[in-house]
Amino acid sequence: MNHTVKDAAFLPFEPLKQTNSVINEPRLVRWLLIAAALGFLSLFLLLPLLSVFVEALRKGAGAYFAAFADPETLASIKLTFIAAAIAVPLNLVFGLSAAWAITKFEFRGKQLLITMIDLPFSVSPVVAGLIFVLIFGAQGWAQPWFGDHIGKVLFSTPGIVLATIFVTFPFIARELIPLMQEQGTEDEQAALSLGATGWQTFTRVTLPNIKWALLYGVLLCNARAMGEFGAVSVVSGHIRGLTNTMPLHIEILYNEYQFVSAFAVASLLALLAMVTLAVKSFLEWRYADQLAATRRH
Amino acid sequence: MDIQIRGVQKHYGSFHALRGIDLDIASGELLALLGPSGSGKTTLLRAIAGLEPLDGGQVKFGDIDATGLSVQERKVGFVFQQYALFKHMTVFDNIAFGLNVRPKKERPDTVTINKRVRELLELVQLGGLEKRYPAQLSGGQKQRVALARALAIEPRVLLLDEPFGALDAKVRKDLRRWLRSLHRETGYTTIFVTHDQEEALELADRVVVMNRGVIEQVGTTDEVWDAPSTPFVYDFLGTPNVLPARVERGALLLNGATATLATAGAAPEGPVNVYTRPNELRVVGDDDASALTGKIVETQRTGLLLRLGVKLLSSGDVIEIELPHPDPDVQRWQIGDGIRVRPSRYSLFPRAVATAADESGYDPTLTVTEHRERSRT
Amino acid sequence: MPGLTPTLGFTLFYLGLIVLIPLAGVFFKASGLGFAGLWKVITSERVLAALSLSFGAAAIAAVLNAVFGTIVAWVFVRYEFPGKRLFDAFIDLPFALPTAVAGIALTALYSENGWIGSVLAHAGIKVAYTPLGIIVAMTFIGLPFVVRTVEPVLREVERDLEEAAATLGARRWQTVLRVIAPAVFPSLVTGFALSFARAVGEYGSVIFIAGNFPMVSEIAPLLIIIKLEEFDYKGATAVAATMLVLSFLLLLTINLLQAWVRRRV
Repeated sequence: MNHTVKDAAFLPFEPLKQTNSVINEPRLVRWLLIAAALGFLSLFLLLPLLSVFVEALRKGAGAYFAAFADPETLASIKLTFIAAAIAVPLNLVFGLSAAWAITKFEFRGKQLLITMIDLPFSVSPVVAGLIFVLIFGAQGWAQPWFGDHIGKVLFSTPGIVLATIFVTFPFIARELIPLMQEQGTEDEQAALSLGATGWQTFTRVTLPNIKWALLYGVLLCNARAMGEFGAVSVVSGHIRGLTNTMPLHIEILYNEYQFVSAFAVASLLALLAMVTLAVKSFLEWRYADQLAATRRH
Repeated sequence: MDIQIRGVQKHYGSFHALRGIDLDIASGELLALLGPSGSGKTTLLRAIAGLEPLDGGQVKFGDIDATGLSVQERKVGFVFQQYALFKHMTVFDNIAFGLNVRPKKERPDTVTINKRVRELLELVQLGGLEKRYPAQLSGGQKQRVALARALAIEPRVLLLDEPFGALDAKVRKDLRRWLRSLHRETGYTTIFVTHDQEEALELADRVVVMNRGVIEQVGTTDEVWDAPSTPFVYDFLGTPNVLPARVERGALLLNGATATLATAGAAPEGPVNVYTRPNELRVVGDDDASALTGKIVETQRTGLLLRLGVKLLSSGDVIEIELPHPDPDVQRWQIGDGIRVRPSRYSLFPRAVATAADESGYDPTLTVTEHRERSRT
Repeated sequence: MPGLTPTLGFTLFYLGLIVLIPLAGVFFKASGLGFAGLWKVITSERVLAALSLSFGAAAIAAVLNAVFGTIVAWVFVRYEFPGKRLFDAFIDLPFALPTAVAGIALTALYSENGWIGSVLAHAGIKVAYTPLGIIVAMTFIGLPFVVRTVEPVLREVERDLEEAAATLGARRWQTVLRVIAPAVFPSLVTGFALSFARAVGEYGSVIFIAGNFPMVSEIAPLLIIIKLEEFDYKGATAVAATMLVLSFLLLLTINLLQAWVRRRV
């Protein structure tokens, strides 16, 4: 072996300064960047969230719980749940159906269809409300017929549900489409070749493959459905105890300087948001591979 | 520029990647670091480049102590396995990158840079492709751009990490030949990492065989091939037969003492392993008392070679023999035939005492499998 | 594969019923005004002020988010620090927190007796009930877009590229500027565009903190609502149609710009 030490001029063993990697930034830069990022997040995210609970409990737990004794508050909570309970399942069926059509078949205009599904994301919530006013409002083109045959849409529950459906329209579909595109059609073709019917294939093969992404989409859809403000505000008419959802009720309480009550109702929605984030983080951590790889919000 | 490496140590957590590496590389030499993955060869290459901070030891380029120098200051030309070309830059901009990022007072003027890039493009035979983006190049072309980019900074030493790993067989052969001639032309001290023994032996002036963070052997192709200095080298360069044996009073007793061979020089007393390659076993006649006797259990003809699997009568172990093109007039070996062989060349390595204690159940192929398993991971 | 007709049929029916027909109604209504009528509404002083406020504040908020969002993405991809996973989960808060809740929370924070507002008041800076407050709210709701679009791209930048740049003599800042930034830039543009589009149309989180003074801190969506409450349906529609067209043109420009950047990669 010829790799023996020949050169006595070498310095003795000299340990080097430790760095994590040669392509890292200097320590000071690293800490500055981390401080900037966390400072920004704290200022814009953590503090507002924290302040919701602090303001809600400002006058103690008694005042906090008293806010929920108000029948109008309870009515707003109920209406919020009704709107979400109708909007989410409808968008769920739509999301599954759209994702199936788009990912399992080839047809012209597919890209356009995907863009169209995303449309409600790029429309201001206020404009979303406006379009239903234009249809069902006093001068609306569908109102004469609807008024005679079905009843009031605007300033009542159906209008609120419609506006909620519109703003939460893409949530589930866009969660499913990239995932199902990635998964392809091989599994389904195998099931069909084994004699399964289309419905069996869907429930036994497709659904188990997409269940976590589906849950994820439902979660986001529900959070938005319960929290929607702008669109619902336009169509609701703000009739207390009748057409106020929780976000709208918060606005009324806030404008009437009932801050503790406003923040108490807000704290419920903030809790919902935190649960949503917690479940979402858990799903992402646990089932990262079963959620779409290419995610964009 | 010559390179001297002394006592280089590197840990990743509890994993000891380099265990005190000493190596001297002559100026203008083309050196291969050969070993299985996990042997530390890439770590050593990256340590020379300054990409891995060392836990100990020293790297010298000529008279310059490079140990404390940053990657940027070391001025090494490093060619990455996946080329690491900048995707948003043209071939020209990729090659010019190293010149363009120099501080203003050291930066050559635009005309000089242009001239230099064009020379390099000619050198790597890519003239006319300077406006292409990496995505528009074949694997072999990307490799050449990566090489030209590394040469642009007039490096002290050229380092290549698995330079042909990502290419298909045909391109690999061509590029190998081309790299060899390029080295002759430019004369850069060049070190490349490979796990492919054929590549290392064909291309390099000297080969460094590494295993588990240590250097097993350094030598020319002939040296490492003809005189492997450790069982690992033997095993890594081919598939030797490993026969358990004993050395007693200078005599090598093989096969439970039924065969006796001369020991080459001063052999250690006690249990040893005899390493002999399939092509180093000779068929001998009945009169050779030191032969190993066995029965043919497998025959396989590949081109001009005949491979026989021979089950030794004494131990029941199966060894492999490689014979040249069988002469149909002399003998055709059949499964079931008796055969007598003796090693014409072999090496002895002391066997661990633990295995010697359990000699009856000793399986000589175990060591081989063990090594190979390790080399795969 | 079975099921094309029912699924595609339902998809198109539902899409048409909920989204396309109602949206088309806006343009139908707007066209009823005629170009001159439309122009008159849009060029009225109050509408112009509201539109430029909405688009201007949204642009500033999107720039803020582009800068800090990139830093946040960088820090989360490259560094380890305590509480990383918790902060990571909170980045999506603006997606999950109802806008009205965000609105009153931000107002409470930034008003003159709020935690942040009182500190800024000492420095003579008034945030709540000024255009500054609008920017704060728009930054909040657009925050996740840049982070979540830049993050995956940054994660995919191979360390090899950075090491290659270093061996070629590039200083760290040169590597960041010349190697990493070009790779990340298209995703940054996407994130910017998404953040901007969201902020332009935002209503709930903004109106509480804005103060809503005509010509000063009145955003375009609020003006639509005001016009609706005055039963000026045509005026409301004109503003809405203008917002839709402007947003569309901006997104189109950004998409084209991005396609152009991508083609070079």
